[in-house]
Amino acid sequence: MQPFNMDNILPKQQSGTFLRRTRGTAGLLLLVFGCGASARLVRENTIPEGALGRPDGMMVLDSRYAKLRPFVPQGQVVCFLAESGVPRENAVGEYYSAEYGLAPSLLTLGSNCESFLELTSQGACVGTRFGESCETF
Amino acid sequence: MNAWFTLALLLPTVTSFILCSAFWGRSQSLPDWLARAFVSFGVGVGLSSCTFFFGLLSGNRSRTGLTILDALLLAVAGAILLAMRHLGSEDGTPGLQRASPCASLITYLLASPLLVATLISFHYCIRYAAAHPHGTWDSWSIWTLKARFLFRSGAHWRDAFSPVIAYSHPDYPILLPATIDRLWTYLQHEALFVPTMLGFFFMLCTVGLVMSSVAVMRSKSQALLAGAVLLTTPFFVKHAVSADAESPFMFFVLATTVLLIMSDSAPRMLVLSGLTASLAAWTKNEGLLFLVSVITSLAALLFVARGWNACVRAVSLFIVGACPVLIVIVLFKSQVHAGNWLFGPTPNGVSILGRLMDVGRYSMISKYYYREIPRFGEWEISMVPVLVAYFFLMGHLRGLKEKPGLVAVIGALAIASLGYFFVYVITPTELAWQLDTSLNRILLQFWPAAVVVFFCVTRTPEEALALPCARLIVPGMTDQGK
Repeated sequence: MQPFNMDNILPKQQSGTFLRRTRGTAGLLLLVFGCGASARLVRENTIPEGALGRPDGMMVLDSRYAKLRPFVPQGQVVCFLAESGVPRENAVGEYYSAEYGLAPSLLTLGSNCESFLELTSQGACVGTRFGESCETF
Repeated sequence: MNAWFTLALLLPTVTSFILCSAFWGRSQSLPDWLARAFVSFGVGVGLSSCTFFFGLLSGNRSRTGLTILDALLLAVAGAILLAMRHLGSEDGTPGLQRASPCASLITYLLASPLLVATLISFHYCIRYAAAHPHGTWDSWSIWTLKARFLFRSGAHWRDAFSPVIAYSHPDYPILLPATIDRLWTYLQHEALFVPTMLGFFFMLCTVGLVMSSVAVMRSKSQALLAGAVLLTTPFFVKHAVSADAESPFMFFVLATTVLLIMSDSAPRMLVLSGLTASLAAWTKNEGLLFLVSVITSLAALLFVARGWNACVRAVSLFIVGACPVLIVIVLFKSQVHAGNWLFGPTPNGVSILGRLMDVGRYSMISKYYYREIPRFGEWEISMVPVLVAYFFLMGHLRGLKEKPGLVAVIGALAIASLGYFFVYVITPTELAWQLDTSLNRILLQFWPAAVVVFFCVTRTPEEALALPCARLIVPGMTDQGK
């Protein structure tokens, strides 16, 4: 029995074209399938319906800090004190969002400043070493 | 959208379209005009951020003042166009081969999946932007924060680069914050939609430029495939509306790539290529590495392939294009006086030399690269092996040696990737954390450019399937796999 040879069925030029088309079709199907699978992932990653109705965390924080902004001194570095008992990592996160909300006031993590902003369970205090005024937000 | 805002968008676009027209090869097809338009949109945003920076420096940052600066730039662009016309136009057949009016059945078949991918991506972007208008952590803590400082602090705008907020990387260039601030100035208020809108705008320009340029240089069906690969990369779509600087940076790397490839037949486009590379450097510090990589690759390749004179001519054209924005970058760095954190010691005092000599760091970075390359796009099925298989099934173009622009791009991307590797080696922050949080973004930055290169060197479906139409559109082209 003779081994299978495409040339036995089709002329050499036609078998070459047949193989090229088979390879090309396989390539295209592979690529379209791969893209389709990834597109499904994009669709599934879409924000859930319920999330659209409520603002995200940064929206809430930013609107709170916007109310506080007029009371934070400018032209000097203000110390940021996180709520007592808050872990260091969370305090840093709060500091970043406070800086974002209160820009262009310059905040720093620490307590060695003329003025300070302290987060408390009731809200936030803006004060100086010599006296303290509290603004809840 | 008020009239001022429309003016803010229109003026730079017209300016950059005129500027691009001065150096672009002769346009002959719709995709060619579209490619020029998409490059102009992005370059317009970049140039207007430079004029805004001059406004900051001169204290002239009112809406009227900015309009005058933009109008001056328009006049300069017009003068350059006239000068270039006077010098005589250079014929251009951009890219590897001409697009053909002949659209095969495959083109129509591929249009539907692309349309679906586009709708899914846009749906995701709109919903994400609605749910997270401030964008991601990086976007608000670095880029929009700087824009707020610039907009709110008036004459004290340098506070945006204070070492007190070192976490926001004061040395980062300000294309994105300046653009946000410029649009806020035109609107006269801090519109929340501006940062995410800019990200989406650059995503549209990136997808548009990928597709139009591949249509110009290869074929329409190839362009549809390139667009589909990009739009079905979940990480790319997610970044579009994250409001960080990756979106504009990706666009400028892509534009540089496209213009370099097109410069093979229209060398004047090297000027534009230099301009877009410098705008990448004005977007992120990584752009400086990319700029140096392009110059190195272009110079080395042309010196070897065509000799000293061709090398000097091409590099000169590229540098002429890059110079204006490089001057802006130097001015910015001189104003800000912020040191680059990369070159400092680690928290436990290890010097840069000590980090370079640490073999363990090389091993760790290699492992991360190996792990991250197949999955950085957050695909369900990794597209990297899929594309490799596709490449071998379809075959590749021959005659790449006659395309120095294309080879230079491949070289530049390789050099820049190697550069990133060494940046990780010297990074003073904890290496594992740095790799975990940034390597996927770094790989994404080159993804649109890599997609264009890939579809430029791979045979089109018409060629691979040996369709009669392909015979008409690729006269004289040789390919492999016959």
